[in-house]
Amino acid sequence: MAMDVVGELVYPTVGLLGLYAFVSLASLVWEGVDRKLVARMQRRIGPPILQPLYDFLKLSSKETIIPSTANFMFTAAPGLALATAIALLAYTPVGFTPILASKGDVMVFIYLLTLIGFFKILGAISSGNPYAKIGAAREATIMVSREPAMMLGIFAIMWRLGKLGVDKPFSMGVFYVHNIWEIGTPMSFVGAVILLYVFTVWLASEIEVGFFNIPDAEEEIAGGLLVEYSGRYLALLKLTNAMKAFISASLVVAIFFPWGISGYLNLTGLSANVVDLLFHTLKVFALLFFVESVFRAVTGRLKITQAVDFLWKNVFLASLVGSLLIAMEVIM
Amino acid sequence: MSIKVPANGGSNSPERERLEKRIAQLCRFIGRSPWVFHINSGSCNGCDIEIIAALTPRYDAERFGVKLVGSPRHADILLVTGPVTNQSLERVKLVYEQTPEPKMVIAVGACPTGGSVFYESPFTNAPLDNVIPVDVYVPGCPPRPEAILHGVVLALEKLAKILKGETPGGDGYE
Ligand code: SF4
Repeated sequence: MAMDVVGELVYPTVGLLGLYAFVSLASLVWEGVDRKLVARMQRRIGPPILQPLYDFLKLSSKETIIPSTANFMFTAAPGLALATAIALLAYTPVGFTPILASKGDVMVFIYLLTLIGFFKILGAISSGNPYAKIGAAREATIMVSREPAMMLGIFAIMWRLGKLGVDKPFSMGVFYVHNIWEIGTPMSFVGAVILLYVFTVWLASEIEVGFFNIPDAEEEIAGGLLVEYSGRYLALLKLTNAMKAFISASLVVAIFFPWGISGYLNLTGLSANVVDLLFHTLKVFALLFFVESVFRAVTGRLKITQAVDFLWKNVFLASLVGSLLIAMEVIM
Repeated sequence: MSIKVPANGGSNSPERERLEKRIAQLCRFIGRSPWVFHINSGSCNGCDIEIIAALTPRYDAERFGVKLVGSPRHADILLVTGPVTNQSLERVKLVYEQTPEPKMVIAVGACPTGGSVFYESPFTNAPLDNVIPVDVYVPGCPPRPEAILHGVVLALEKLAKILKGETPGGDGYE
């Protein structure tokens, strides 16, 4: 009995806390790298790599103003959003099978991922600021447009991989048993390439850069969702955003590029996990380089109607075609 | 542990000293990431263009962590341009009050410094320090971007001194 408590409670908790510390640091460092890279692309020198860390420390030491029009949810939302992000880490594939992986946990993953956006919207509309409300409306609109394409794609992939034989179908750990390139038929290869396109666009719209920097438009609606937040709460929300970018990118990396290196180095146990986590982080950075930095440097913001049109008419359709192609020979 | 404030104000209690030290320690990060908010109080747009110029790749203020933010709630430094017209008077005061402490105010251009071409106009309220406390003046009509960046550096040095207790704090008007 005592062994069970240690095995099922203590190890996952310690693992989750360690993962949380690592991911929050890595995601803030990535933000600094991203700002530096974009600055270099614009022939600037750019801020130091640790700039987001300084921003975070500065914000957490500043005065926190709570507007008189705000209600309770305004103060609760940033903490809840961060807590959701931490809980989400337990279901995120980060180079090895997630800590709490079980049958059907893909639902929990999608649910928690959208819950972060939901808390941000809730905090914004509770602030009583009209700009925040515009931002919240835009965030809600773009959220319902971007998630169906991703959900369709991920369910199709998981269902198809399940046919190859796994013990826990529809779990986030599936990607480390079989991957999408193993299905093998030419049709499924084309489908996988189309789905890669779908997921990269989804990732860009999830972290809201380039075309999709619509809800937080600083020049247009004064920061949108974040307009009333200051000090500690702003710091928490910035950290949550950075972690969400890392987590969303982790999903795409796990689906399309799940390969680890611990097998080649003959490592097992904890050291294997650590090596795989570091390698995974490198892959996430490489993916974010294309999807965040380059995309942000070469594109500008769309109107919200254009973005919704694009997400439904282009990305969702592509997701439909890609899902049919990889599911084809099982259906027929 | 709760923070107890003694009834006599207790400016010398060790607990307060420790807290102040800690706040000063935390605040040194402001020097590494000063976020600026730009208030246009009826300027002719000359100074505004120079502020934007300071953020362009040529001067690249972002390498010092300077970022132009869209909301006074996120700001550490307020850049005020223009002669504070009657219409903008209440707005300038409101934005100043809405900015979280610690904050610095920089008057950019000849207008908020002394009125410039609007000197003694009945519709303006220059200089700016009749309205809100000002920490640094950057004269010029309009000032060059280098001068504006220099103003930001001066403001940060002053902030560091205030936090160390070498200069009396900003709100001299209360
Ligand atoms: S200082 Fe000169 S350039 Fe600046 S707002 Fe006034 S008149 Fe225009």
